[in-house]
Amino acid sequence: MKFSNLFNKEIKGLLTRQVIVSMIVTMFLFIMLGQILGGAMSGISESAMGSKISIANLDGSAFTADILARMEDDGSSLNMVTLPENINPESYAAELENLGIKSLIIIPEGFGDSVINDGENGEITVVSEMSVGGMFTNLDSLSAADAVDTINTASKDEILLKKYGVSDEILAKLEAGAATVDYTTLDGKIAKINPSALSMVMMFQMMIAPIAVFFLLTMASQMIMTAISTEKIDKTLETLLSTPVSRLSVLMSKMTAAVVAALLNVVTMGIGMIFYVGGIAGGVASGIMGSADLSAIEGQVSSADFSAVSDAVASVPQALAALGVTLSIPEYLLFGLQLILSLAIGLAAALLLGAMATDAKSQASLMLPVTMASMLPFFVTLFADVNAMPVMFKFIMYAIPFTNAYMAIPNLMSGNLLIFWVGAAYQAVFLAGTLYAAVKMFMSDKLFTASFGENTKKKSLFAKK
Amino acid sequence: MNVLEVSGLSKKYPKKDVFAADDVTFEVGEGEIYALIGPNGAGKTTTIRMLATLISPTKGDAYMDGFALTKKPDEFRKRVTYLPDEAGAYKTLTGIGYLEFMGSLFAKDKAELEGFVRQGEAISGLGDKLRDKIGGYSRGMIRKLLLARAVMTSPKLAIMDEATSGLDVINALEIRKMIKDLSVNNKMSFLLSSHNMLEIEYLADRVGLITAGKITAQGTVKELKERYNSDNLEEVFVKAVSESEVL
Repeated sequence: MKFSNLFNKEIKGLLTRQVIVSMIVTMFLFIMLGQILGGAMSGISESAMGSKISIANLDGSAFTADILARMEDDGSSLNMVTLPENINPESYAAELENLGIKSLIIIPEGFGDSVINDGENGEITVVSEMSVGGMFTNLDSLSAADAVDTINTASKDEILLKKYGVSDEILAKLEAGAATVDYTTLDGKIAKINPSALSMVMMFQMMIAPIAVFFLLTMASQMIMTAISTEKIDKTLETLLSTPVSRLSVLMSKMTAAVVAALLNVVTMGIGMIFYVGGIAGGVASGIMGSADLSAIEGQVSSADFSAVSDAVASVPQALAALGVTLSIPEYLLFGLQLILSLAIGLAAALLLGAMATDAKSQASLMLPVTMASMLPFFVTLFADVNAMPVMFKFIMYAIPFTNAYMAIPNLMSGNLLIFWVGAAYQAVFLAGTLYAAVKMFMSDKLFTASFGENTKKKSLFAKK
Repeated sequence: MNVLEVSGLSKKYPKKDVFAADDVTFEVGEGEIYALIGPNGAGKTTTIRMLATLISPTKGDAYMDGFALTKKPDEFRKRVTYLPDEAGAYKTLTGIGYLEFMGSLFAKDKAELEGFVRQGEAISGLGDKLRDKIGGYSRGMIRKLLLARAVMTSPKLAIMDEATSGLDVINALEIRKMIKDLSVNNKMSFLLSSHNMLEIEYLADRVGLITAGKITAQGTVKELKERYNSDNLEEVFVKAVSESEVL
């Protein structure tokens, strides 16, 4: 009964009307942001199309050469590459690496002839490399998609076709444009899938987890800090701790209430985030596809030529599995472990710092280290791949315990299990130290004697001896 | 019969050269009002905080019903309530909600809790205002609520640091009368700390004068007046403090 009363008191104190209203407002704010950013992302995706386009022209026809020349005249910067003879799709990943490029358009042999003589557009193959690093690391493939559009437009161009004496009958047959066979590579693996479709799903996966981690961390930490420091500032803590309840009960009730309130906050925010990310994904899709039918993303294109990889175009889940970017249930549990470790570290650190607050101002200052330690790796991992950083930066980033939670999914997906487990062990040690210090402080006189503020120089735990 | 026996209670804070409370020894009888008086920083609050089990003594001990403060702090805490100076209450709760919450931490069952709350309601004198949120209370109302909370569980010993601080004259008189009634009629013991010598003179059965962490004099108000050849407690205070500073 005592615990439930303590818990009820804490939860009522934390979930005030203002807090609930702010949760809902934040949720709608993200929904709106998703819509606005959807438009902005279209612009980003379009701008990505301006980069250099690598093309392997296996067709020696003058028609294809004309198309490429027209692309260059229109301002496209082309990087013409040569592929080994009889290359098969399984070697595409290695070839991209050899050539040092992230995407490649392969115009097949006989492309020009089939257009001009048979009125068949044929197939253009697009190979794109993806990564599981940061949010915007996969936009390179957009320029390739744009280039294919340009080739398609040119291959249907009446003036160009008339130059080669194409009859009206054949012209009419060419309306559909060339079919595209898409391959996506990742860490040497390959799947027959449009990279844009995959990118959207991965972006969703890559973003939603770190955002949930970030908000859960900062909110729970803020709440536990408020719960402790407010008791000190409002001078209710002495009264509470002089009652016949153990300090550990008080502590546990505060931590549990903070986690529950933070989880509720994350759930409401999660709903907003789904719309937010959906908005961005939709924006990217519209940027790539224009008015093209989205069903083509998943592709219904047959590909007899490349049956070595797969006869059918992979669905997104199949492709994710082929590329090794899905998490199994045990891996999700491992991510959960990281999340719990990080959350516990955040709570313990906030508890330790909150116990030193003497007023609202010092409370805000004391919250800053936890906020910064959550925010820095959040933004870094959102936009960049920590594992690809120079060793020193990588070491610094992983020394911030929360980085391990943000990197948990990419590490698990990429099979970086050593980094994951070393990180988890480091987290556990860090947690043990922080929790020990926090509980020791809460159980000791320091709860009433330690302070951060006016007398920092004299009393702060950080003061030099 | 003594409710509280304090024996050589001392506290030295880390990085401080002197003891904040030094060999403090006194006892409080059943239904007795014992007052600790002394200048700011003399060690009153440190002594009180140790007895409220908030901070641990460096040496010495205190006993209630045979339970030692240092060995059985949980048992000790069950017999004591504490009202800190300038204490606050949870602003998001109503007055009655606060009494219920605090009472629940002492009560063994629902019936006992209801008894505590009824007692608290009556003692606070706040009437219908108990249904309002504490956030809208005046300082005086909060103090009354906190006082009611401190005595509603009928503790063996109620420790009160500046019991009437923030109250106007009429409210302060009511509170003093309430404390006196509880000690006489309910045999509740009180350990008070105050800078208001008039209040102490009116309330206290015995007074302990603490300076530089040590109890330098104790006795009834009458005894102290005679010892220091003074007309009132304020004069006693001034003379006793001057004497200890000379020493």
